[in-house]
Amino acid sequence: MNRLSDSWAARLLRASAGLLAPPIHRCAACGNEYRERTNPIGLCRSCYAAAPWILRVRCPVCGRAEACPDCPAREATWFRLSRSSVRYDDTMKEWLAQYKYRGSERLGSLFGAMLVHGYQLLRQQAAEQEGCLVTFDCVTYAPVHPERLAERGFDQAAQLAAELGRRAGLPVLPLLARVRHTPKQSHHARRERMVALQGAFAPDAAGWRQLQARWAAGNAAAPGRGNAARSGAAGPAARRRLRVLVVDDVYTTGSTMNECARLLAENGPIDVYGLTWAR
Amino acid sequence: MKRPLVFGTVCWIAGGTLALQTTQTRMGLTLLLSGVGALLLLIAARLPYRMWTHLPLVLLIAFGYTQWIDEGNQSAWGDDHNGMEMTASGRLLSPVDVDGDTVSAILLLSAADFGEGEEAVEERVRLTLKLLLQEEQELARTWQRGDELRLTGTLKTPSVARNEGGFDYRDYLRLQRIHWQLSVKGMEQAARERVFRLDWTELNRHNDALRERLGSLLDRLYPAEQAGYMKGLLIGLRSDLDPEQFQQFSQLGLTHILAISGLHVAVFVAVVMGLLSACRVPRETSQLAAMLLLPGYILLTGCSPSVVRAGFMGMIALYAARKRMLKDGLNLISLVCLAMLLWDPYYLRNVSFQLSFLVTAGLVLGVPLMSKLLPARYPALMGAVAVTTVAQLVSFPVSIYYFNQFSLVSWTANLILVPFISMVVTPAGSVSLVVGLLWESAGRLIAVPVDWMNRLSFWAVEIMDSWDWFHTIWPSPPLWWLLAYYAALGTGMTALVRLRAASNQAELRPMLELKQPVFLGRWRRATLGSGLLLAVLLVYGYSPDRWSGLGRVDFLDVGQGDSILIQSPDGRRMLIDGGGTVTFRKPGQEWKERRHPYEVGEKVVVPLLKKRGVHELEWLVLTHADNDHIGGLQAVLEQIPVKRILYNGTLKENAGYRKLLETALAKDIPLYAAEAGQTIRLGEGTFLRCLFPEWSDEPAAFEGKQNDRSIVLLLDLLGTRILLPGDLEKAGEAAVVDQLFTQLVTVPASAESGAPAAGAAGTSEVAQAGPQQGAAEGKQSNGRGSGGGEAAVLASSSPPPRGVDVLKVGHHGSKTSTTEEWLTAWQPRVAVISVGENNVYGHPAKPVLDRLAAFGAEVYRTDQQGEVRFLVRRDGFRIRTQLHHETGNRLSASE
Repeated sequence: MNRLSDSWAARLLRASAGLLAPPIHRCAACGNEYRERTNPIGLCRSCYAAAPWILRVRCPVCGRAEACPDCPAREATWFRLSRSSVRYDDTMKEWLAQYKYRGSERLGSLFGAMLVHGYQLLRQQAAEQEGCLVTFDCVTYAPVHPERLAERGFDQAAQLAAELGRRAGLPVLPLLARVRHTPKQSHHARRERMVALQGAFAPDAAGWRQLQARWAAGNAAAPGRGNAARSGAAGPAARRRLRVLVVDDVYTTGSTMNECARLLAENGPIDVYGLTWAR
Repeated sequence: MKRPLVFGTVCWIAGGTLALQTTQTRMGLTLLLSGVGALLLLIAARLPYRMWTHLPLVLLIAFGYTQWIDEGNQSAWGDDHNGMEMTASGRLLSPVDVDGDTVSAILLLSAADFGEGEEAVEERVRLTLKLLLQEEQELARTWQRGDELRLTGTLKTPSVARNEGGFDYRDYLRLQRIHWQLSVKGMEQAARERVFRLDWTELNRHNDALRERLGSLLDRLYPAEQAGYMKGLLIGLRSDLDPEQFQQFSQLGLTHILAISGLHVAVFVAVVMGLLSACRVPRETSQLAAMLLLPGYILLTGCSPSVVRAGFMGMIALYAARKRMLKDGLNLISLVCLAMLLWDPYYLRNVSFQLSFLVTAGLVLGVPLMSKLLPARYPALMGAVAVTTVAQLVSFPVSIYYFNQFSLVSWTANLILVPFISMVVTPAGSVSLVVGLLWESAGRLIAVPVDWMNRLSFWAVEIMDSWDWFHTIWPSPPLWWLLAYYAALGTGMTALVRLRAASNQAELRPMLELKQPVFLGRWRRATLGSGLLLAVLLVYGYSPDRWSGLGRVDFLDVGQGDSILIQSPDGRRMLIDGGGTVTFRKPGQEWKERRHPYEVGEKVVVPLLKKRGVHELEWLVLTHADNDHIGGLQAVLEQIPVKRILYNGTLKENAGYRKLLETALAKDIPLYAAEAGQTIRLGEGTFLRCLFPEWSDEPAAFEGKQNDRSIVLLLDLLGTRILLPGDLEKAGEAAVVDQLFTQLVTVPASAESGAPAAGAAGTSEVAQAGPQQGAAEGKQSNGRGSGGGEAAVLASSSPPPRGVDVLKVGHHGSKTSTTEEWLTAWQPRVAVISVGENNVYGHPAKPVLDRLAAFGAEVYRTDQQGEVRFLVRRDGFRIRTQLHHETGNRLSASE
């Protein structure tokens, strides 16, 4: 009997039965096996249901699902829009902790896939605002301090940005560098955070050079490709503005996002859009 | 990619279809082997599965395999065997059908003798045996599948389609691997022997007997008008179905009920498992029992493709359930499809196969989508609505392609009747059958409520079928149309579902695919776009000729007889005559009558008209009352809306003619009597002038000799002139010539003023007195001729210039017509003879052919070339013949 079950015929039969059966998957979050695919990002039914997706946006600026006290209170908002994929509830806090502090790096690709939802929300809103589909010129991120990078081994924002860039087919450029080590943001009150961030970031020279090269190339090619509508009439004054997407893991009050956006917008003809995994 | 089997099957279907569409390359085996070799190499090299490497190979293998099988499907005998006498022995591969004096069956010949000694052969033939004596019927009925016969008869090649788009018997038989017909006259030429062999045919022989027994039991359990229906419903025996009833079911799109399929199999499995679990048999065992019983069920119900599909899907599903494997609808259907196509690639051309798989796959894919579009309340009702709607949408193109009709109440009929018949009538009927087998009286008792339910459903079907205005006629669409329809349908439904989901707040979902269009505008556009595309496709598909700007005159091949379809460039149609089937039956030979005798109108004219998208006829012209002209029109009148009838103003005591006129009166169709001088504007650039018969004061008279009362029409179609004289003979011809060319016609003054008005009015009315209803009763004369002035529309004031482009040769080329004077008067450049192959009258006559040759007319004959079509443009016309394709461009007379 045993020998029979190992025979080639039995294996063939099992293999062909496998052809008939629906495929088996492993959940990207909890690691359990499941059969029925309910979503394209590889979560099992319960994990998928547990994720607090932001389906309805209440704050048109930062994309929060609840009423938002921060955006109206902000003196100057440097980014045009920001969107996030999920609410930052306890489950998500635990998932992020697993990723950041316990080093489950496979979650990085899951978070990248989840980021697509926020990205779509963002494109949707941007399209409604502009009246047509918008494209982004590049993705960048709010990096961690080199010291923290050394301690953790990877930069979660850079990884998310890379994952999104890969999926959306956008170049990822390091436009920002963290020049001052700030204490963990989560330990700060709102006002303190804004103060603490002053001077924490600076433009990253290498990234800007790449961006400038792209900008020049894009403008040179644009009129010939019939993009004249967007770039307007010929001449340097009519050169189009760039759209840059800043990716981060969590958006709490928006101070980090706003600081990054300020640095970008002050240094070039750039419209900044924000995208974070959680809000 | 997660479903290799599904994509593989789609590729297989594509490859197979391509192989059957292309002419034989003689490369089948080479392609097959190289495809398999390449695939094995990929596997041996352990290359990971990739869509773009593996799937094209599947396509190649399918192409090669199908071509290889198709190349092997050939007769060992060459064309020179056509018409040869032979003595042969062979084995019956099918049950024997005895119908009147005709016995038909499929025979596998094992030995043949053409008079030069016996040789061993292996050839399938279609046997047609004409009985000479009534006693032979009983003897023939004892023949069974598996019997060895020895016969002497004539070998013939089956006929190809003789009309464009007509039924191609040769192709039909070829798909059954039959290349010859063997006709045998009388039982004396046949001898039978019972030979036992343990094989498939022997098994089928016993199955035939069992089916027959069940059939005769149903005959006893149910009243006559229901037995045929119950046989179709329960055991897939359709031969006893009342054709009229079948027609009603088919017009309403309900015939799938009578095809044993998924619902039957589901009911069967449910009944088996329900009975066993009532006997406290464990679930596992009852599953196994159902699985093992299914092949028997497939066999018993006649192995049609739909029941094979459903049965095998059921068996695999039961097996999977037993093994606690999860099953997946799409994978399951793909596997069964692939297996069936491997078994016989010709299934691809089988309507039942196509419909069965398309609808099942459509249901698997479409019902989840459709249920999202329906309200969530009343789940049972909404489930039925979703299934019915999806099945209708998916089967629509296939049904119009094959059956050229669609009823607008089909959806309602299906929604109401399908659940009722398949969930209630079929199970109850099956119980009556099974119980009846054991104890007939008890079976009869159970049959009583079924009888009532059948009456109820027949009543519903009859009511719904009687709503004529819901029946629509569709021409067969081309392949690109079918593909575009399914693409638009799929896109439209998907987009609509997305749009609903997006706009429905409760159904917001995370957007995890980048491909999705981002903002609502795009889905809206996709929905609108595909909706618009569907609408355009439907409008175009309904009347594709409307924009061609082409006028057509089709001389249909109806055997011995006339039938001419005229179509104006803006798509209005006139049918002149409809052929007719003449049967000579001596008294005492009623037994020779077949159950459903061949009738050319029913079998040829009506299907062709439907296939060509004739939604209605502006005019139906009965040139005269002889049966070879009006016989086929009864079916036309019954199935295609007719606006007006033009007849020759006489009556003939002829049962067919009487019935025809009575039908016309019952349908309230106005009857006009033709008379020289009338002009009919059929449509844009299409005028018909009536040249004959002459006006007479007498009331509609009975006239036995009809030929010289034929209506003669001169058609002017975009400048091309075609003369259509019916069966006019010498005397009539002389009268017409005399009237037109020798006498000076005095025209009533009103003619001049009336002419332009009627011509410009653009209606396709005869410009004459009102309709003469009641003509059949013979009281029509009043009003006739009273409007004579107006009748002369474009008309007798100027006799038609001499010379026509095309002459339909009168009276099928009989020597009593087409005189020297006639040809001199008309100078035809092309002549068409509508005549039957090997007709008993010897038409067309040699002198007529000689005369036509002497006048330099190019002759086309329906007996030799099949249908002859004239495609007319302003600058001339083209002739297309169905057989021996000869086409040529011609300039019209105006040139």
